[in-house]
Amino acid sequence: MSGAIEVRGLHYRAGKNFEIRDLNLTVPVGAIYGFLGANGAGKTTTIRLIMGLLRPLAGTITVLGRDVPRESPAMLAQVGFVPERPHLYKHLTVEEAMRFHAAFHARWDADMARELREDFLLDPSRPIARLSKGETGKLLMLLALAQRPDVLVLDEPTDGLDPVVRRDVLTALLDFVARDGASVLVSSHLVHELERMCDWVGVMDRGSLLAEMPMHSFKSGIKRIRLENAPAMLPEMPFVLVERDTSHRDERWLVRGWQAPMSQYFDGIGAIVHEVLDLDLEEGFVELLRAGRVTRARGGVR
Amino acid sequence: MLNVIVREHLRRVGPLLIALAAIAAALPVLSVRAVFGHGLAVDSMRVLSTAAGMSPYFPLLAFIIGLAIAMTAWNADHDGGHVYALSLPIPRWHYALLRLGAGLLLLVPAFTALALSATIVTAAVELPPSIHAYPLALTIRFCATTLVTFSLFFSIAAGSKKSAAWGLLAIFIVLIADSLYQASTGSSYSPLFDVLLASRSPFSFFFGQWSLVDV
Repeated sequence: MSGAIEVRGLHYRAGKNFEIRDLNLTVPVGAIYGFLGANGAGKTTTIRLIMGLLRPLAGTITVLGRDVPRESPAMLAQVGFVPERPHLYKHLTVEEAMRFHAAFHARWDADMARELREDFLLDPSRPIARLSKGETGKLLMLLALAQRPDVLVLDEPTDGLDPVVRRDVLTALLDFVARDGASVLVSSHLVHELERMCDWVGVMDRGSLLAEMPMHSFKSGIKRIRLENAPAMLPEMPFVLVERDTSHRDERWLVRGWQAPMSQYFDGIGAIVHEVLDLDLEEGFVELLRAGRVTRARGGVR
Repeated sequence: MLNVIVREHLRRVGPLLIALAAIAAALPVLSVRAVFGHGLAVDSMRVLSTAAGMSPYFPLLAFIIGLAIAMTAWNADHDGGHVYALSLPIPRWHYALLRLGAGLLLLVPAFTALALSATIVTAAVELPPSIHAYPLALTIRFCATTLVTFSLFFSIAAGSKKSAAWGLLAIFIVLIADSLYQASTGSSYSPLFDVLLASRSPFSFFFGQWSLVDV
């Protein structure tokens, strides 16, 4: 299936210390794709590249089949964007900001905008500079949704919002996606938030995508296995061995892509499995990041 | 689109714009008052010298208006790191043209105020023989000077805050260098003014005839 967003071989460098190298990412059409990563992982930079706000050194980005940044204006007409930091003109009122945004978006839905403004309890005459963080978050989501986009790119849209506002914003988002079938790329470091709403997940760390898979595989497929007697040289595995820790008496493996019948693999190599531990999404996320960093520190290739 | 960009810019500079338009309207009034307002009999030489004394204020005001509107044209975008403008579904050149158009439209009230005021006050006084009023010529020169200033500083301000600061610094350095040259040679010759005053230079508008009344 072709993706709503496809990134291939993306390379970007910012200063001496940060680099995105050979990034490949696909947001399937109709999917809600959770883009996970620690602070500074490169999520915002990747999103800015996807939105055409930055120019890559190499690689291709297509959004709904349109090349970015070459076809950015046409692409942006179909994409709703909530940036990490509020970017609206602060001296405008809520109503003026809506009018300003509407002037540039041919598919602007005035009824939907008014409805969302009422649902979000936003005062139309209030200047943006005087909105609370939660109100600003709501306004950003309102603007992104009311332009009726085919793709939503949301960079930490609920970061710093209280639970009530977060629920309001996410409910509006999910209602829209359910009704219009838009594809969504949403970045966050709040793992549990993404767990509830996303059907795909990508994990990024230090400029690299560590994993990309359907959420159900991520949730059920990451295991920590305690075993012994595994040979040093391993034959081909039916799962992905993320990390092999031999510092304990029993070896500890971190694997992804795990399914129950795969335990037969260990019989085949003469290893004895003592325990297969389920990791919840947050544990899986943390373990993936840790394993990725250890591998990189050793100069290894996963 | 232009409509909302104009409103957005106006929201930031509305009071300033009103003040500048008021000054533009007041300047011809003050100029005529300086010439005719003391109740003494007027003679042509005194009219010309008094009008010439007021004339530097017109290009100064034109410069201030052009500078103010140009430097505020990109402020809101600078504050948001240009992210909002760049995420709008129009090419960047189109957005820049909209900002330019909005800025130009916001210059119109000051031009109108000056034109009306200059026309009305010069029509209301009796000029000595051989002295004429030039409200239209003054307004055209005022518009041209404002537009030159606006265009220059609009381009400087269009980049980042940093590049705008570098642009202003470069202008400042050129002015200092020109002054140092004059001081070192001990002459009043200024290479900078020589270039600016060249007949085809857009900056020559600054140094032409600015009197509201003249022979």
